[in-house]
Amino acid sequence: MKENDKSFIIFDDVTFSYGDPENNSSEELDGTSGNSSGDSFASTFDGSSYSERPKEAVKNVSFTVDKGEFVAVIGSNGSGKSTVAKLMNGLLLPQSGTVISAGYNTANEDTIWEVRRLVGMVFQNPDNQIISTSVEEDVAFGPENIGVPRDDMIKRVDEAMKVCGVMDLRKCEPHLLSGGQKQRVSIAGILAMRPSCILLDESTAMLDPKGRKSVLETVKKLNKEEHITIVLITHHMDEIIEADKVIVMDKGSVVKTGKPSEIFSDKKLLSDLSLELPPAASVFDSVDEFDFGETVLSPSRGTEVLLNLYKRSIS
Amino acid sequence: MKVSLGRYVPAKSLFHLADPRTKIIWTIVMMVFVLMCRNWIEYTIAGVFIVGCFIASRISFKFILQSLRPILVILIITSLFNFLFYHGAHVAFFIGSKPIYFESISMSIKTVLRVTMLVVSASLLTYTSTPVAITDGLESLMRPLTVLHVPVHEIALMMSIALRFIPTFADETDKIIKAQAARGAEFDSGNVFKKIKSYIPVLIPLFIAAFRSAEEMSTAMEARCYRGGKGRTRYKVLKFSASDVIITVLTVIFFTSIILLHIYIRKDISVSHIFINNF
Repeated sequence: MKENDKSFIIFDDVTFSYGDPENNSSEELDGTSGNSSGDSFASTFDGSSYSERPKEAVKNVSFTVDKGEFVAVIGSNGSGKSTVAKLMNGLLLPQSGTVISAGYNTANEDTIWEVRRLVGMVFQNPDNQIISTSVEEDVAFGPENIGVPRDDMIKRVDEAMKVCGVMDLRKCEPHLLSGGQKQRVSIAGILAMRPSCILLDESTAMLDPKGRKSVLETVKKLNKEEHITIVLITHHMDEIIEADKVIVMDKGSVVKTGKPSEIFSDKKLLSDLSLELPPAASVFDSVDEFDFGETVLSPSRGTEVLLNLYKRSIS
Repeated sequence: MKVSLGRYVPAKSLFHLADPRTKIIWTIVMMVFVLMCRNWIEYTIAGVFIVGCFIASRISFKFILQSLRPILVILIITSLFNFLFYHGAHVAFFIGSKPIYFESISMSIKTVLRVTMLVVSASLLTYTSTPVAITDGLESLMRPLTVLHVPVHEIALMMSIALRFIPTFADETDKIIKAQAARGAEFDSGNVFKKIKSYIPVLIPLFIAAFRSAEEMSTAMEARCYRGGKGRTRYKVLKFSASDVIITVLTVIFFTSIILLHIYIRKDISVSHIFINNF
């Protein structure tokens, strides 16, 4: 264990490209990895660059995620953000550079299962990650795989289902659940393995607003109460408001890292990447005549700002 | 769209509460003994036992008839052949110049009874246990085969994933059919071949979706530390209960009575004997 005190995931100058014949794991995943493989596909099917090597999905990326942090990764399609997620738990291995997750190098085969236990991952499509025929059995799938004794497993499964609010559905068949419920079952399944970090790879993209809200609330609760590190990969700008840190990606590199307010106040960056402000922010942003003195992100903060202004104006 | 799997009829009964392993073994035992039955006493015992089991399982008579419907043609043909062509010693009556024997009448009735009892006892298993329970039971029963390098865990996992995905793919099929219909595809016109052909635009997207799902699911399983059956613990454990004991005891009684009858009554007590003795 060469873990330093604070950092949980360290990316050091990581480069990865799909379709590299030397990398076996990328071949397996090619074509199914959604957004991130968009790059290699574009270059493969683009007549002019057909014979060229596919360009990197992730290029010289370095960043750290601290323990207990809520980190959001944003970027448009093909920006490499899903690839970053798969690099974090060793589903993909970097061609150059190193990824240290939970103190282990993901390239080390001996510790890869420990990494995957500690760094759980929720995928985009809720249907394709529920394996068992009932909710409680699916939550138990992870603990079964890592060989948790049965008595302990029952406790863990119950706890995980309670935290994620799927206790009432325990005997339900997965196909009868809504999208949001399915994703919460998936989160519970990871939670039952007692991870230190959960990666959400666009896990809210296929959900309706209600399901999205329930998943995000669960994730925030886990972050605050269980101190689980969260890496939320998304292209919904309003999901990143409450993050501790935002990593903005474009064309396989990290463009900017900072607090949500720093990201939203960078107008040039937002327009360059055609990212949209969350509704409250865009309302406040559209008032050109007045400087509010800060970047307002949420409606509640907006109300506070306006109230303060009002109080100041009468006094 | 709600799809029900298998033919499971939910109820609370001796058979529903029993362990799937007991029921699987029960079914196999019943099949063997129904095939062993020779004379009318044995048939009566087997019949009474199976009917008793069905009453204990609280499955309505309607479902039993339903399970027989697919084999109705086979039943009719086999009994007819036995009736017409079986040769016996005692002529009962003539159809034209063709003699019909007492033995052939009894034989055709026996055949019908035998096939019916086979099907009914097998359907008792599927009516009282969910497909998932049957899969679990089979996995548990087949576990000794791992010594012979039979991938028991993998087979069971494949079966349960298949069961898990049937409703999902049924939904998917429904969506694709609607999408293709919206593009002007016709599914219920023309002859049989045309109808089959018109389903190709449904099957191909469905297959592609299935492959994609499989690929994504394997990644998800890997992310959740799945690495084969080795070192795996189990959440769901099958347990024998009181109902298993009851079923086992009753089956053993049945089993021994048939065996004893087989040993002591060698002579075939057929309808013809009863008929002749009475005449």
